[in-house]
Amino acid sequence: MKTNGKHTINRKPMSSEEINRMQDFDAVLKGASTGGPKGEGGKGGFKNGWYILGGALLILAGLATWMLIPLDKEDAISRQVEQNIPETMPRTQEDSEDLVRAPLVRLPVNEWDIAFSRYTLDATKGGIIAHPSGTKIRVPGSCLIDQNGKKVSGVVEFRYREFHDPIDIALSGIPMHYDSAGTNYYFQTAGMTELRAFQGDQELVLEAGKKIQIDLQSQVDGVYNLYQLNEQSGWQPRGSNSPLKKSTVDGQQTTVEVPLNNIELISQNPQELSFIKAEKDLQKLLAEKPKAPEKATISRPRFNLDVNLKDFPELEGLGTMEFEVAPEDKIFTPEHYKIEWNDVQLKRHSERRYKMILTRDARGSLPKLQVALIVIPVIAEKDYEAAKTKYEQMMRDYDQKVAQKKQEIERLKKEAEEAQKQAEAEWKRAQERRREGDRVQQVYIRSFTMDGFGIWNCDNPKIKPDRVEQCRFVDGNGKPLPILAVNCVLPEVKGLIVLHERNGTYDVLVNEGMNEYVLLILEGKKLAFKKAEDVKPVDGVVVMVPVSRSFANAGEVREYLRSREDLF
Amino acid sequence: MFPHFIIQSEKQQHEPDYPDIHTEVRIQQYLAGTKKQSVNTNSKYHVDQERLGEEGKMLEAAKSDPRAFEPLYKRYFEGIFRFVYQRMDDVDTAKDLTQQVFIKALEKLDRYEDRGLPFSSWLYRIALNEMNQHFRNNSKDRCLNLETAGVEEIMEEMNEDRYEPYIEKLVEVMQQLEPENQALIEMRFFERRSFREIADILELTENNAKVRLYRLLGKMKLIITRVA
Repeated sequence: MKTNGKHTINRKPMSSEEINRMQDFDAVLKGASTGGPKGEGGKGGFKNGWYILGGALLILAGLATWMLIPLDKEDAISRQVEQNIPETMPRTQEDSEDLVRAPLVRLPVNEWDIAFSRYTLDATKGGIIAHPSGTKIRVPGSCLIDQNGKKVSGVVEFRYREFHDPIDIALSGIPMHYDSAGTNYYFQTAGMTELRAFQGDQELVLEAGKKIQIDLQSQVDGVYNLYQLNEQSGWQPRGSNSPLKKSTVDGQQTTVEVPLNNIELISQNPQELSFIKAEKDLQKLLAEKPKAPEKATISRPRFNLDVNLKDFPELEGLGTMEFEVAPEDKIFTPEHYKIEWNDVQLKRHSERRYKMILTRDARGSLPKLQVALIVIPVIAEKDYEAAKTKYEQMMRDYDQKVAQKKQEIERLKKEAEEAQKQAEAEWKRAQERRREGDRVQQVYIRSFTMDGFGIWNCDNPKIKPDRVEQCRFVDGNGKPLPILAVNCVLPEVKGLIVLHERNGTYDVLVNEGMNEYVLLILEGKKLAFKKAEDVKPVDGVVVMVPVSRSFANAGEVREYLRSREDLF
Repeated sequence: MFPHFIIQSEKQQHEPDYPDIHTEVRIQQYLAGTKKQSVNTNSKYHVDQERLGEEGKMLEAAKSDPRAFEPLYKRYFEGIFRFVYQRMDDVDTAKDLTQQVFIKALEKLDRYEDRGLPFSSWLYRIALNEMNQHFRNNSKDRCLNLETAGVEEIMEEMNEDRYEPYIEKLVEVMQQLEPENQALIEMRFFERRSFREIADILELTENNAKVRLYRLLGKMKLIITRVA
């Protein structure tokens, strides 16, 4: 939670006596014994279990009303949200004592990470990203700011990936459980996404109040909660989520396509990128149009500046130049000549005008002083003719460059449009192919809006397991295994429990009758796994024999494990 | 004769990209223990083994009899209250939240594990947790409470002789920081906590706390001194 703008400086400190007078241990005892009701004040600081659950309901219901689409389903969705809070759900994520800790995402093997797809968009225009899975990401125009809060324009890159089963999530190292007040809950996922935006190397931020809509292609029906991962503090509940449309078993779409809201469709189109870049180049070129030399006016005050022409290329070729105070400037007084300025900056002001900002630092009793004068670059009479000749030559070169650039833009625009048509057609064909394959597997679209980049997850937390086995894992020779990560995978319910090491042991959470297996990710890009029901430690030790082969990437791991899951 | 100035190009005026050499040097100095630490490191936080043992016994007793928790409540009430009140401007809310911290502590006492850290670090973590939850729902309650001495030290760390020209920008930047980064700055410069204590509260290593803080200061410097 960033601060809302309030601050004090040198606030009057409170004495120890004042503070200690507020002690009321009886109220603490009472609060603890009754589950938390507070003393006087009722300012919202105290929460018992029901208060928190109630609060969570209110927050989730509130979020659902503005996050979920379409809005005419608010009532129904709110009811679903209430029904969807299982009795076993942790009261709130904030109950966890581990709010502040190291980043939670721990990638076990770099090469096994789930790859991002990269999409380019014009930040000002926005667009719809059509991911091959069928997911659509609707990005409004002008919604991005940089790390300094400055609005971003030009070409930006979106990096997107999604996870639909626990193996993908295990390989990505994303935590999938609540460890709340000593009780373990694991998540069952209906689909998880990660979206980030970059310009160059700089990661961008979604401006406050702006939202990106995700129509996530999911393979799971039913209402799921929506969470956002704070990589420092864990999963934050952000409402709930139910499928808004789905294909039927025979593959016919029964729902209406969500209107595109005038957002232009742009999808992984390098030609579009070149076109946007060329347009940007043209804008830059137009801003650098050479300035026609102006003769100095003898009666006007002037300043002599050394200007770095790399920053002001339009002034190049003017020769010896001075900056004359413009007739419309009302600030300048002759006193300004007498001041010893510490800094001066020049900025473009209008077609033929610049702003010169003079700064004098505070000195002794003198306060800081800053004045901004409107100035015109001028040429002394003796240099004027030469400057004029040079200007004419520069203008001829300039006009030629602009014409070439415009031709290039026309060409790139045509190429971009053609590529766009092809991309759309390819996407439609891919969707057709996917729908064919989905005839025996229902497909659901989960729509939600994200108000910040990162990892978002449609999940339900589930209660603790049937039994917990404290295990130390060794190989067939009794040697400790070189473990990078340990997970309990529940393929049938798309559940994953990420286990953490404590003094060399792991608490394996066994859920009977759920085809659960324990998956060890080992050094050397290797794996070991065992059906959870068969995890029966002898003196705390469980033997796990690593798979003899190593795995180059996530695809190989996924394929291998899925073939094994069937055996369970 | 007209005044004569040299206009620097924008790039020349900028600081080098993070991490700048000064920040890295300062981190190395801290890690090596060669840089003077101006913040008090002999706080009440540093309890000896005897105190740890005594508190351990009190906690064991309190697990079966909550009344036995009272000495610990009395001992840490002021510290926790100050910690909470540092982040807001309403005494009543700070008092309520402080009480809530102790209620939570008492409720969770049977799950408290002695990991050789002072008991207070556990209380502070609960307090941070409670405050984050509170501010999520009541963001208007969050307030930055700065002291000029702390601001001066921050600017000193940024190699700036004077703090006055930067104070507004510093406030603005601090208000934009993520909670854990705000906590780092507040604990170090406005609550005068040692790195050891900060590390225990935030569950970091001491070195990690130092590195994080000075990298953060390096980033803040780029924004504050460029714009101010």
